[in-house]
Amino acid sequence: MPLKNKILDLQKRRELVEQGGGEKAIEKQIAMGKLTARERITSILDKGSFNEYDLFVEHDARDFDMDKVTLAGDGVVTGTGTINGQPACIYAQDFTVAGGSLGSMHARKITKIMDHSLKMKMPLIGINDSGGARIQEGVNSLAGYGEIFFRNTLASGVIPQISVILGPCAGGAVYSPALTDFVFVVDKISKMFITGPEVIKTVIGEEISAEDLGGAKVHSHITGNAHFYAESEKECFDQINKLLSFIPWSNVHKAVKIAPKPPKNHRKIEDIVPEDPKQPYDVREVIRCMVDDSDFFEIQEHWAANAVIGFGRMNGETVGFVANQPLVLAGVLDCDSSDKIARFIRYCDAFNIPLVTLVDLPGYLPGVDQEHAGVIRHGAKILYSYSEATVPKVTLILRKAYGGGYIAMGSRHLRADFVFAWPTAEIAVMGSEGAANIIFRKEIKEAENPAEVRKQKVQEYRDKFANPYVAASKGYIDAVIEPGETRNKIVHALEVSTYKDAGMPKKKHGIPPF
Amino acid sequence: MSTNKSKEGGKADLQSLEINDTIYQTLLTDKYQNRKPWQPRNEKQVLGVLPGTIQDINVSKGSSVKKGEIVLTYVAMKMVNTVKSPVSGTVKDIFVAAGDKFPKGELLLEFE
Repeated sequence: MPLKNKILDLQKRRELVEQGGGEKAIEKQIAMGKLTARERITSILDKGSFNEYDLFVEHDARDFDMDKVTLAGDGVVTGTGTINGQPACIYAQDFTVAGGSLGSMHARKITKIMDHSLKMKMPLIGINDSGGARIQEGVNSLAGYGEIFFRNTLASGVIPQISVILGPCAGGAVYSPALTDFVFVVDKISKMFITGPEVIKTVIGEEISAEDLGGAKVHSHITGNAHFYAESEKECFDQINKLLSFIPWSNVHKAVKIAPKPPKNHRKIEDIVPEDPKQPYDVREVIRCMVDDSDFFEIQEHWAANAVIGFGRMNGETVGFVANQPLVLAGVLDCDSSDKIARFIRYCDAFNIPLVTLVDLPGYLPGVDQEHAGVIRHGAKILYSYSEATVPKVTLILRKAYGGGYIAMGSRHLRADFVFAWPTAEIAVMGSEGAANIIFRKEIKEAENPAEVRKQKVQEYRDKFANPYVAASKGYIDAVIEPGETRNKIVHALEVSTYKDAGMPKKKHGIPPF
Repeated sequence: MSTNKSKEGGKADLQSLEINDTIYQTLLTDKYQNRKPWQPRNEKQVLGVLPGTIQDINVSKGSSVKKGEIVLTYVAMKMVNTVKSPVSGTVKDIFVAAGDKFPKGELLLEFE
């Protein structure tokens, strides 16, 4: 065969596989409001940058007449490309081919691209759209999942791993996303669960739709399994791009520095925070007054909203923000918010992103449900993560920093590098009301007018202790600053921390309160 | 799920939350508002700890049972599970029969 014909033959072979599951299956995919696997990849990557590998891989199953079946690319598209000009690995399960089911060759394609991303230190993006294990391949299919989970774990903290759920992702398959750093879901398209509605109905008799059981809203609002929620695939891809603009390409890279911009939020920072510590405000407004271009990219916005986490830039460099949110549940710490904060701190620490913590919390949420849900061990995760983190840590106390909450939220005692407080800060063992009620219990009880004496004692306590100066006198905070000075002080603190070198004792690994 | 919607809302959505004798004005989450009040466990009630199907009931209404005796068996999670009597006493009522399916937390049997 002359070369020209050989090239023609190659082109024909390519075209055949690139049709995936064929016209009918693609029509079905579109009818479900979904893009095809290749469309998804090319939408995420820079235009024309996608290079596909393993196009001609075929499954080797022989049982149940599988030897008579060919599956295009074995139901998954893998390759490399660039995002904002930087290299990345990507794979997308193709639901049009045998429902995107995972057999051993399908898994081998995925693990091959995972190995590349780990070796060559670039992000891995996995698009999940699969009915689950390919039952005909039996235990080989399970082996495939296991190989993926193992690599997810090895790569954790080395390269960014992003999971995009654009279809069903059920049973064992959900554990790969759960092991990755960020999970993206899209309304009406994403479905994640361990056991599906059918099984639940047969076993328990409970009827529930897939959407209500494990849809995008469930995982972004209730379970916390997802980090980003979008209304459409397009919005989801924009979110992925935006996230990647903030984070470093691996744990040996630095996040790209861009030209510094002043905040465009011209509201005065002191006008946002009410003086009365009992009045709420949206702490994200404060962050927007601090970050470049007022651009704050929030993570897990809808879940455990009493804590806020996310990325912004200060002086062009990426910073991870952790903040209490007085607007929701008064900004208390509870099981969910502890989980959310602790994991984010570990992410930032693994990828050398400095942490800025904004403190304004009344303490931990009281309640039997919290205590019985294990708020002790969940709360301990925050202590563990802050203590363990060796990236630059800057803390600002806006108003309330009481009791255990004060210690947990990036205090000096957990080795924050710089701790600032506004003059409105109340750094004390507990709030004035609670403290006065305990310390002056006898006097209040025995007084002729208990209400009057209580009020007086509360005021006495407040005047003496509800301020930043007791903590400042001990050096627990480094400086009391004016709200208007906030951005400059924090930028300077981060600048001088650039070459921070803090060690940890040699160990295999610690035992965090998981 | 209304959390986020109300997050954008005005002052009208703010509610009181008391922590350490101080009352804060804030938004409450659905999870917080829908939490179930805790109730002490009643030792005399036998509840289903897993969703399952009753296989055998070894006692009947009025039976006198010793603590630790097997009162019923059920199939759940592909296993035959036994329920032992939590107390010594008389069976007051049985709410299920062999073959019945029950959800987690269902009252199966009660002692006097």
